Amino acid sequence: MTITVNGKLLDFAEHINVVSLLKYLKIKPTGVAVAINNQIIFKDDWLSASLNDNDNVDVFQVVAGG
Amino acid sequence: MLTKEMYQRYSRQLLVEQFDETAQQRLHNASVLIIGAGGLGCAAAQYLAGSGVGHLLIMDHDNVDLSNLQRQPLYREADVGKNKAESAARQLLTLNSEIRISPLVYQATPALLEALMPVVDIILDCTDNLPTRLMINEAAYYFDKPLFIGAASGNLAQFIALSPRQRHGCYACLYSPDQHTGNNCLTQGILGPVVAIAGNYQALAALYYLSNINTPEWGQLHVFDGMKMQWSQYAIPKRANCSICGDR
Ligand SMILES: [Zn+2]
Repeated sequence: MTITVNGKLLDFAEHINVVSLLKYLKIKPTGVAVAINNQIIFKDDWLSASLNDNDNVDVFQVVAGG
Repeated sequence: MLTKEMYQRYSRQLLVEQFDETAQQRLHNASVLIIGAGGLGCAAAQYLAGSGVGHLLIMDHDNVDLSNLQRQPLYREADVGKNKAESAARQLLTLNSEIRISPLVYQATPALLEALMPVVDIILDCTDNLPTRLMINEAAYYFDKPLFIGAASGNLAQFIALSPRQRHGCYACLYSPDQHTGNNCLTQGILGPVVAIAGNYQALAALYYLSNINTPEWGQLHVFDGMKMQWSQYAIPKRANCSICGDR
């Protein structure tokens, strides 16, 4: 299964969800937001949001300052 | 009816193809609540005042600090130590004395928002923390008011236009309270033009909505990365169990 994460192609032997992807990328889940195919995945749904072949994932910072 | 002076003052925007006398009149009749008079609020307020939005209500309980001048262009060195809402109002009236500006020297609370919501057309969330943003989101949805949200930190800016009447998700469908990281201009710093980009997006979307010459793209998170000089865009789906927008 090939997915694109922040513009980079990554290969995975088995199915993964958002939580396991962040773990694999060594990204701390606090303070980040995740979108799959340009759709926001709310934090509570990260465990149930499994990734499919050719998915485009963006991980970016939550910004609340001003 | 626009006066001769108004024609002259607003002539350059009246020359924009889609913008006409009716659009100007709509701006003149509009009331906008700007919550937060920092980098976002300063950027948004000066263009809304310049464009002739009839009534700006500017809320901030904070005082101007020397470290604000780098990115909050409504303030002058002489304003350091003075309240932001009052200083902003003073400066904006020297830009456009034809409009009404109400400085509100308070911190946003649910009770205060409840009192203000009925008298404004839209809200600009120019605040600097997740809990306050979630509170404003709840009030906007309860009172059915369009909400234009700006945010910035470091080299990053974000913008969202939310309409309680549309089917997209709300701010509580985007970020959960525990995603609050405390990243703000104190810990991560902020570049002036970056926060101004978010504030100008808020002003532009507000201008389009209030003049009714363009429909904002509701329910999209716009993310700007200054280091790449690039925007990305993400849809915010409605969560079925959202306590704020779920039953709509
Ligand atoms: Zn919601």
